[in-house]
Amino acid sequence: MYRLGGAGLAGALAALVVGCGGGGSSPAAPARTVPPGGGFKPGNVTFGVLAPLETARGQEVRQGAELAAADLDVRGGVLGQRVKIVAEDDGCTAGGGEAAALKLRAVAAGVVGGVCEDAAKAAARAMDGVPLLITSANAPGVVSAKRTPTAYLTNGTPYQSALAAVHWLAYSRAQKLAVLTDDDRASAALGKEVLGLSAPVPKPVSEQVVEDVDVSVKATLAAKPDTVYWAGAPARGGELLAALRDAGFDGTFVASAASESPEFIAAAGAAADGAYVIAPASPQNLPEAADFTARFKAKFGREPGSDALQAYEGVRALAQAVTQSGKVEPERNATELTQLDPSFETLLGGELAFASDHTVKYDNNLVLRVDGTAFVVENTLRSDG
Amino acid sequence: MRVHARVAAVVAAAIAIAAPGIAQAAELPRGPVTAQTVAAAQAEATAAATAATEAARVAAEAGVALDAAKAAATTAAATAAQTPTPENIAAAAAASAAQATAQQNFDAKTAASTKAAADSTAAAANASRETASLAKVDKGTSTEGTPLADDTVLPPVEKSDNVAFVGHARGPVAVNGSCPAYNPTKCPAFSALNFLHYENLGYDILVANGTPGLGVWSLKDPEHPQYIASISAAQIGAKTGETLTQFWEGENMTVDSRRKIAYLSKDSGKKGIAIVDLKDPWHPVLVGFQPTQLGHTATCLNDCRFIWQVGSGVSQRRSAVAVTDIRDIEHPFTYSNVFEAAVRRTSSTSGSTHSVDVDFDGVAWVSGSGGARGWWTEGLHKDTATGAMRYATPYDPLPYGGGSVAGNTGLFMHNAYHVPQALGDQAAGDVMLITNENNTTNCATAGKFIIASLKGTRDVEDNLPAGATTTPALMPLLASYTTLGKPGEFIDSRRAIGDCSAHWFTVKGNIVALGNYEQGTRFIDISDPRKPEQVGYFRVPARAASGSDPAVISSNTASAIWHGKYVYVSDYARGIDVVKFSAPKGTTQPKTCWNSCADNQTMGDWADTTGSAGGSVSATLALTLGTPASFGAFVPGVAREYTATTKATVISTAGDATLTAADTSSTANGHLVNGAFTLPQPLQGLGVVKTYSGPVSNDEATVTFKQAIGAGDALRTGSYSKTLTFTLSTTNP
Repeated sequence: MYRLGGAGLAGALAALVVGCGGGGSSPAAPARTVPPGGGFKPGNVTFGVLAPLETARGQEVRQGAELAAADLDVRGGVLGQRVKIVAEDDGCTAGGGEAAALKLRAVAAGVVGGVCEDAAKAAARAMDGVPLLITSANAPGVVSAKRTPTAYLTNGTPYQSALAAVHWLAYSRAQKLAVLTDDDRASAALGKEVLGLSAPVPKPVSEQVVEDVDVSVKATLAAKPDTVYWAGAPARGGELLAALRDAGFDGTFVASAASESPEFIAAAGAAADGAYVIAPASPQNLPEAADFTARFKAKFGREPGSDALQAYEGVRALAQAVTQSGKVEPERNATELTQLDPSFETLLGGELAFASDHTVKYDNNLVLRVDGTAFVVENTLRSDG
Repeated sequence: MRVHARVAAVVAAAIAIAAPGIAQAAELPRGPVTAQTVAAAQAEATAAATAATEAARVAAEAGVALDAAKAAATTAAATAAQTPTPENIAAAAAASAAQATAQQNFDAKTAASTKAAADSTAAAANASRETASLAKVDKGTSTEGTPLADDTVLPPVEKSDNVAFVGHARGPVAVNGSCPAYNPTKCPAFSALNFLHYENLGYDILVANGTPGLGVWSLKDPEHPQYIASISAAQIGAKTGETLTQFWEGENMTVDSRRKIAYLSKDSGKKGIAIVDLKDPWHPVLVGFQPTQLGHTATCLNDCRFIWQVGSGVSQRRSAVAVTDIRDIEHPFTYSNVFEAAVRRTSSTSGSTHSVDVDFDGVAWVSGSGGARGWWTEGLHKDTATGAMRYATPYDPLPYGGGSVAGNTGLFMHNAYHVPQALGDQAAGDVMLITNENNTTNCATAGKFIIASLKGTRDVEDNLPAGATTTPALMPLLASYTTLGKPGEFIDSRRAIGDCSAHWFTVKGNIVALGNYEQGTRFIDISDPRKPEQVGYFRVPARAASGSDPAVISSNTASAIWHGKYVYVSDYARGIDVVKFSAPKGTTQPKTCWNSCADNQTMGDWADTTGSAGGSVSATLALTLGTPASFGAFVPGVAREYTATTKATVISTAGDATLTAADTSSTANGHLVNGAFTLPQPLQGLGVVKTYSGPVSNDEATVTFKQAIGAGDALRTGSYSKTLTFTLSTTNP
């Protein structure tokens, strides 16, 4: 190596650096900050919510966004103005999504939401330059660089869920993998994706659809795997795990997000302890979301779900983009959204960035481990430093 | 006078009858993906799906039989219970035994079925992935763009007679200034360079990284790199979230020549890898920046599916290596745990790692404080920790060999090269070349070039302990080289002697091209590894501006890289110099392995004079070839070795001469090809054909080629052939 003289960096930006794998601190109840000049400037910075508002999930999205707006206002709003949330019902249909998008793009600096795939896809194509963060729907076909130039996914895609499992298999040093699934399309597809992405190591030694647990356990153990991956329903997964342990399997058991459920633990009994589940971050499993959960309960009287947390994070990101832009200007805001300051961190403690296909670059999948009767975070699978 | 004669010949046009059969694919994915591996993967997937269907049918049949046996046993038991005659009791016992047998059969068939299902899914996914991977293998743009202005002045130099200074390029300058003569910190400091081959263009692109970011040059004229594009430090800073006025440092730059991607390793400020898409080198695209724990150098592994990075910044680890899964460059994944390469084989966690260099067998050699150690990153190998065989991965590799060098255990090892060929009294694969970096103007103590032996330091063969030890195996030292007192030594009366440390080097045949900081580039003959001999040197001396002549910046050499017929020198002050060395020694390898292995790049043959064989070439060497060798028709599905010969007629008045046959193509090097399809077995007979110890006239040398066809080798209808280059060379005209 060669030591070059002279400074190479202009330290103009004070960046908050968080180490790999470590979570950032939870956004605690914001300190009250009096905006410059003693009050808010006239007018609002408006962010939109696009969701099936008649459904529980749609309400979650709206409430998560409203909590984000309230938290931003406590800190002085955005560019000195209060934050306003405008919600439009997309009716969970393509037509509804497009109609809602047309209304919101006329008034909002940015939009979050998109629970239903068809509605989200239609909305993404109708935003006409206004940034849209699709915070719930996660099919990769919803967005594209060409068709939705300012729309992005913030939820990991099914491919990313499989990839997260594969990365955990590498961490676990799996050498021989048995994959078991339910007899439904999504389960089978996930199982095949994990098995395929795992190659060349771990080696696949067994793949089966579980109909009879005893039969499946025998066949699995005959293949001598050191790791078993379950991609099906939680109760069956728990039953399977208990049977495997009873039959002498002492290797690693990894399950998909569906098994992040009391049903899994109940069905597995004592065998559940030490099992892993790959699941997206949620208010229930992420310690860093504790403050968010408390404020949500205080405001809305119930526990938040993942949709609320995703929407909350989405509004925060849009607000950051507007702040970096210095004004509400869709094209500029959309550009800043793709280059958020490193000091802006998600609840997982890392950056929010997007791949060229407009999926999220670093997804929100975690590795959970069953500890007694609870799921605890074993690894955040962060890969962004 | 040294002359060569060269004739090209087409070898072995063979017609294969279409009957591909099912190829026995190697474990995939290993090695570079090609049309052949994709075809084999697809064939394997088809076969696996068929087998899985059959296994499921057999298991279902066994299930039906089991149900029947259970029913029969239940009935027999009930009958025996109701009427316990000896006959009924015996019948119940027999039925129970039959049920047990049916159960065993069912269990076995079910287990086989689940295995077949897993194999089928894996094979299908693999075929899909290989196809997608091959689709990403890009032949690059077919359209040349507009070049940019560049400094290409060739000043007077200091060199040996066997070195020619043929080209110079400077490319992008650092944002913070131009290039005044005596202020090298403001000039483009290129720490490393590399090459990508563009099949559609038919030539290579040169890339170099350093203070200005990334520079890109066309090597359409390989002597005169043409500056065509850059990615600036500021652009990279926009991705890292920093305001960069210079990029640093990017040593030992790694590229994916097949997919046209460059990876710039950054360890100043935010550490990580900048990823640049170079499918159109006139318009490079900065894809993104992946933060990692270490950023001094980066190396592609396993056909660039993974990257290892090394450097300083991770404490309490024995020779740390950062591991990134780069199969999806849009979603790269860096493992939060570094791998510990333990180059010293002790418990020491002091110092740092510096380079990863992959050898011809795929072993990744990690160099750093105290030693150099090789690791398997793929394939099935013995785990010395457990004694069991297991698969190595880039995240969980297995040790191959190496360690500290006897008498040099405290040295900082800079980079390493595992020599594949036999040298002197050392068997093939026994010799390690390692540089020690120690920057000082005292050439007696500065970093040296070390030649060591791997004897006694192979983990499995020598049964070495898996963990740390206070008495580790040491590589025997064979020899070392420094510039002290050698021709070309730079002694500047104003600044004392220039920095003497050894730095990055590459090997062609038996000649090492070594970058030596201010001592410039040195050429070292390692034919006798116990007596390395400097056989050439090159250095640009500084010169003040005079009249219309601009000032000249002196050499401060970072690396000397053999490529094709030239050596490209990346310099910490000058940009890039291009030299030609005309004292060849040894046979070149069929592919290039330094940093990573690039199967679509060859080291090239030794430099030759201009002119055609037997024509404008001097009459002292003449070579003519007979009828092209032909293997006739290959029969698919039948294991057989085919033989073909041709004649070479030699006239030489030289003191000695060597006739070689080589495949210099970058496509499926060493193999016959039929369009996009390649024969899996290599063509035998390449390399040295005949040597002469004196002059000869009309000597007829029989050149014999062999081609093995395996019973499982897939063959495509048409002709398999390859143009070979025959070279007659001498070092004693």
